[in-house]
Amino acid sequence: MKIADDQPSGLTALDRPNSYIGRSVPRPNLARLTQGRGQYVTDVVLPRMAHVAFVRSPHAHARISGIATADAKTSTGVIAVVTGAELAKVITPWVGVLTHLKGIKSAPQHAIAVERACWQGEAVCAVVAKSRAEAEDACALVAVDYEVLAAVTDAETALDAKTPVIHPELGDNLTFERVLNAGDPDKGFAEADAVVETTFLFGRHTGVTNEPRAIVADWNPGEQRLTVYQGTQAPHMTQNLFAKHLALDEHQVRVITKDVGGSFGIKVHIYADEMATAALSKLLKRPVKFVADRFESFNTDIHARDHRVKAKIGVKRDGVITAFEIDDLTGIGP
Amino acid sequence: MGERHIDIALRVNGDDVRERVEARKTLVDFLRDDLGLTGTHIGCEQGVCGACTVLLDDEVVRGCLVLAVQCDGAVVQTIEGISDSGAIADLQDAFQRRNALQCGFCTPGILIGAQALLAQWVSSNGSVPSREEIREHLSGNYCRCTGYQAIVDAIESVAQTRAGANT
Repeated sequence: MKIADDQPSGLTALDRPNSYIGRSVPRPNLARLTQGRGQYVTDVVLPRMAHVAFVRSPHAHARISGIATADAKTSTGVIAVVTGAELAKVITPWVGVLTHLKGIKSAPQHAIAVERACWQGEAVCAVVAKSRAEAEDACALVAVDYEVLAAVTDAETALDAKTPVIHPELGDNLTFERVLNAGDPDKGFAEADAVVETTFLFGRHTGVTNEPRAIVADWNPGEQRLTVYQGTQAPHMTQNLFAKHLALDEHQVRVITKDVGGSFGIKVHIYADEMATAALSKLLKRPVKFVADRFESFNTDIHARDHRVKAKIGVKRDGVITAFEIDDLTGIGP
Repeated sequence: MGERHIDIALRVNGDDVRERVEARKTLVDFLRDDLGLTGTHIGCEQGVCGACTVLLDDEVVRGCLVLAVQCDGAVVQTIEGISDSGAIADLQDAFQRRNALQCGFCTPGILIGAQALLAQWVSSNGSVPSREEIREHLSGNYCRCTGYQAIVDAIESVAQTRAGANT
């Protein structure tokens, strides 16, 4: 495709042959995207493909005392109704930590909640059906008994002695702390003519992609290969994790990322419902598709910000800053 | 309880279509799942984002707020139809030259909305909508990537070119 500026630069190909300098470079995907010929994960359809919808916890923290699936199993179009305990036979839990944050701790997460839901919106049961609509119909027929537990929702009080510890095996509710001391701040504050202190609150936000999170997982037992079409920013990472947690070698897993309808950082993470979709494909030996609806997106896409930052500076009359101290607190959830 | 499935006959992108559909199925699900017209996208399923915009009897509608059974006897045009006919070739070219899209998920809906706007203005009386009028017309189409500036630029430039060609 030849790109012509509205106002040509005056240079011609003869001035700088084969040079991109000073020119708009056409993106090769624009023609198909403007013709409705993109291929997003939501567009992918495979033979024998089933659709999954999830029953999600309405509680931020609850013990799951029972899941009644009999009515859902006989609903029109339903292929399987799978609880967390049943799915745990084909997928192992993972621990979400970052290696560059030394000492960060986090509890193992299941693809579908086992015995306990730790956040409002966590999947507690999967319904796989011939269509998404039929899967949702049957989700309404799954009866879950919850024993509501105390939730920890305030980072300011999360470490108080009277606040329950969400994961007792971790010891406390502190996932990570980094303390950086440099110079002599006490001396700097003592020497200051004035000390100014304030607190900044940063609002919680999320990416809100036009195309919600979406995945089609296709386990082919005949080839012993898992092919995953996924709207992700990190296909190599998800290839590694699908292999690791589904008892496969990496060469058995192929992750294909075609057009993605917006990411904004939210599609660089591992989501339990997407891991569950891959596990369901392995369990059911057929392609399974999951597309979050808008409600699920707001409920389950990762959030950012929501920091409380207490900041303090010491200043001299001539404007020289002698010391500063910053305490940044954020809650990342259980 | 009424019928769960209903026969419908309609014209989609110039083709005669006869299908049996679930009464509850939306037009956008029908276009995508039954007819394979995946250029029309689903973003919110509540009439807010505009990704499912199509033309129903030449009117701009949200495909998620119309049931397929309501389209019996209607004429529907999707991005595939107005693209293949060449009707929006100039808009597509302007969007490409100005990089008026990034992920492209909203683009089919915006192109359909833009074409309808230009039909109201340029094609009917030769006048060019202002940038404010273009923005107002597209206020129901969410683009999360571009910030809209290049989209408005592209539509404005095509309006001016079409108006010039009309005179």
